[in-house]
Amino acid sequence: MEIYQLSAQQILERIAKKEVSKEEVFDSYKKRIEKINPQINAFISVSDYPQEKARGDEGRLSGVPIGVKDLFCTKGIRTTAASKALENFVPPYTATVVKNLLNEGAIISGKLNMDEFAMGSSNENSFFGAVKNPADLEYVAGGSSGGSAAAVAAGLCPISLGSDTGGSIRLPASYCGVMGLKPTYGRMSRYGMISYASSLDQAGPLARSIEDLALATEIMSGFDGKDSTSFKSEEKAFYQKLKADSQFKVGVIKGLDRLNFDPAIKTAYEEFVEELRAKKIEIESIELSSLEHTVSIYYLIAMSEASSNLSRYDGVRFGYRHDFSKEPPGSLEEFYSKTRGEAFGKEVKRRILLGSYALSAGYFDQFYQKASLLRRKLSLEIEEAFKKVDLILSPVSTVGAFKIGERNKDPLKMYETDQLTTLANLTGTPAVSYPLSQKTKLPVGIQFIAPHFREQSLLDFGLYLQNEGLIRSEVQDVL
Amino acid sequence: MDQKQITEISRLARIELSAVEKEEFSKDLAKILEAFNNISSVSTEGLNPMQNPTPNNGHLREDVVNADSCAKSEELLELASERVGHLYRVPPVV
Repeated sequence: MEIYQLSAQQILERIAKKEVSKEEVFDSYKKRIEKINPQINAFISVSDYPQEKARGDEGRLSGVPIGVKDLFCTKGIRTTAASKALENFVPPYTATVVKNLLNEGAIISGKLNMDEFAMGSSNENSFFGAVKNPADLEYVAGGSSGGSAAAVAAGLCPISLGSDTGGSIRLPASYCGVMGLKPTYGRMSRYGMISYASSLDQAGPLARSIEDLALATEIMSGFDGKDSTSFKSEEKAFYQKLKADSQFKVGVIKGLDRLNFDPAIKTAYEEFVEELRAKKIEIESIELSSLEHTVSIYYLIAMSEASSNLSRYDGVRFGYRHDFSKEPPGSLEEFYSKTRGEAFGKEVKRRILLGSYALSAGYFDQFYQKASLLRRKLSLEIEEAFKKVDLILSPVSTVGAFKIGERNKDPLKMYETDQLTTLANLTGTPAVSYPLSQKTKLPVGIQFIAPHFREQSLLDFGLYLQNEGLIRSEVQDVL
Repeated sequence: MDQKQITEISRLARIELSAVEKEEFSKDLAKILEAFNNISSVSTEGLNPMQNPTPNNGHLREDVVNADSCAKSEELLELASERVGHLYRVPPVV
């Protein structure tokens, strides 16, 4: 087996047995990136070895190269959020989740492509160009963490970091055939993660094995005084406590037919449910009457929060500024407006405009407030469902990976793909996307949601499914 | 959504739009808002709006300066397009 096909655990074993050095591991990935990346555009920038803090022998990821979504600040390494606004931004500090991985000896192999400011479901909204799906280069990788999913799928790194505001880890994980976990809101620090919608944003890992996913989740998690929504918790030994476990009652959502499914996705989901039944997993139907409104609720809240968060890009203190050398601005307003009009891409503008509208006098109650009330309704429904079941199962999306350019002309058609993933963000619950083993044209994932703080259930059940061969992730050759 | 409304929102958002963008966004935004307005008919009586996604209400820290954990002001000032000494510089605006 080539190094790029190994999991992080297998790499660590080889390093421990001195079959390979850390430098050789890093070099072999770098060569793989040089060969494959021009085809899939997963990396925005590639790092050199060795870096400060990465040279020690200590640590549970010592010598493992990781790809980092270009949304996480990395001291001394350009961090762009895939936007012209931050094209040349080199942060003076490092995000806590990245620091946690570096403290365990992980090495940053580079910064990964994404939708601009994490706003997108297909990774076609990047200032640096679309990411292509390693399984078929004509298809989208999914977004917004498209680079994170494509890099792991193509064997450019064994583990990557992504972020998930409305499905941004799980959608690309599903489309590219890797595993992705969005933790409970507050489980991982948001310090140093460029904000999109603060009440929904969470960091999370992507990998090709449950063991790697559990280890990265364990290392990235933890209380951080620099994020006021981070919570104190003792239970974060996800990898140490990992054990295959099938003793979960699984909830399936009643009346999923009312959603506009691609027939192939629906069939894959139904076959998976049958496979679970055949393994004697207890399955029960649950009600989620607010499901058909998740897209409206999510986008109204996310866009409102985004319009506030992105007001910091004013061209004064950092980031892009319009060139006023020939013609000075007539007013401060013009200074901001010209700068921001040039700095942001189309989807980012669209969301800021819609958010500004939803928060403006006269429309606040009709849009933002109404969405916040329905968010409560949805949350109570999920709480009720978890009185009956341990996990909620659903497809990740109503569609699988689609062709590049197929949906990005119609924003509503794009937003629709987030209907099932936004459930977890709106309610703050942890969720995963696991790749089905079934033979489909392109990879397809399945989603599990757990109650708050129960990442362990997702991982333990995931290990059971992996051992039974019901989920599987393999490196795509990209020829 | 008419041109007047889109002009007002772009002013509120401090984003300059070209004539073509205004034309496109006004159609786009009207269509999206119409679709999102499907939530207006759902009853939300007796519910409180939800802003925090977990029961965890966050934490407060002691109000003390922790200089070690912050970026230095010099590092931050270096990120600006233009500066003069310890100040940010912007074109004259009055």
